Amino acid sequence: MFSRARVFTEELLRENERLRFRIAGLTRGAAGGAGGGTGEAGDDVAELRARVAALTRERDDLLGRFEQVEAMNRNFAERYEEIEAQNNQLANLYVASYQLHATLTFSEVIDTVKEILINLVGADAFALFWVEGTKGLLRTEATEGLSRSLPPEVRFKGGPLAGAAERGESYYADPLPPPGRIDPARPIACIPLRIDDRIIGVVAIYRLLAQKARFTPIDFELFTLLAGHAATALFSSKLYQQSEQKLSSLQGFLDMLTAPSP
Amino acid sequence: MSDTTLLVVEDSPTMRQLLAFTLKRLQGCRILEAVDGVDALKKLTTDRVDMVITDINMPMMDGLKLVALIRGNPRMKELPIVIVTTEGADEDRKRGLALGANAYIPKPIQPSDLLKTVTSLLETSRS
Repeated sequence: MFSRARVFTEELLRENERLRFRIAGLTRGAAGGAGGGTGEAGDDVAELRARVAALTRERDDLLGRFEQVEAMNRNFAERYEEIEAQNNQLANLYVASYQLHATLTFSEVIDTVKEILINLVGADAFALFWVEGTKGLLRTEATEGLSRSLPPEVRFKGGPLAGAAERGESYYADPLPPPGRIDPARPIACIPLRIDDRIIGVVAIYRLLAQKARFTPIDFELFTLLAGHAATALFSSKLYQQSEQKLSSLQGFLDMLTAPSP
Repeated sequence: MSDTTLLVVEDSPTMRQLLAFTLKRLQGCRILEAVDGVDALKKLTTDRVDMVITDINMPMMDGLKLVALIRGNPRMKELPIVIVTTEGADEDRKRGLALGANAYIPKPIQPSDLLKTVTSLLETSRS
């Protein structure tokens, strides 16, 4: 019993001693801090302050550079989108012009013009007119999506069709009218097909596909392409067709002349 | 995308060329072309195809019939199918997807949309 009490007392004394040392140490530390620090501690603080300032500068510099890189990234992304859009335009134009000049058969060129208007422009209802020699007279070559067929020959007095056929003026309704009953004299777009100054035909668009709300920049590029390339393709295929027919008639005539008489 | 074969089914030569031209931008893709559903089925039996991109309005056999036949064939029922069509109404879209098409893109197409759709479907079908 006594020995356990002695051990306990000794432990208490040791703990007491340890705590006294600890209090003495803390008191010295507190006194040093309150007095502005010794020379060595002051140097440490100054060094730390300088380091903080340097790191702040470095951080600001990095933030500035990060913003610059971000701006460059945005610029690259915009440029990428522009180039992507140009690529798409070029692909459309390449395919359209390739197909227009891929045949010398008039009906196939007409089919290609229709395919371009439906698939690449998104036209739902349209007509292709051929300009006859007489002023203002148009022959209907092809139609698509019109509930009533147009007469073979039509004459438009005034309006966008006459403007396109007589003066070569393109016309685009802006804004587009709400879809409704189609009036052949009131297209939403008119594209004159021309070879130099001669207007050989007119494409009239009456309605776009339901999912297409307006004309886009690529549509105008395609209209420009149609105005020139479709015109030459249609004209040359028509000439070729006529020359083939004449050749065939002449050949028949020659065969008849040179045939041995019975 | 290497060693990938895409079958483009489209009766319009202009659109077929544009689709093929666009899809060739996917590195290493081989493009097969068919002019209608019947031609497509022939090619599907003779070639290994990883995806079908089809129009709806075609002579002989239209795109919807083609989708139904593909989905009805156990060998091809998982084959990804993209419909590219002028039929852009909501009910057309629903009908195409209900028959089993994986994506429905109305014309005129945005090439970037088509490429994103095709890439995403190919990645999904491989995972």
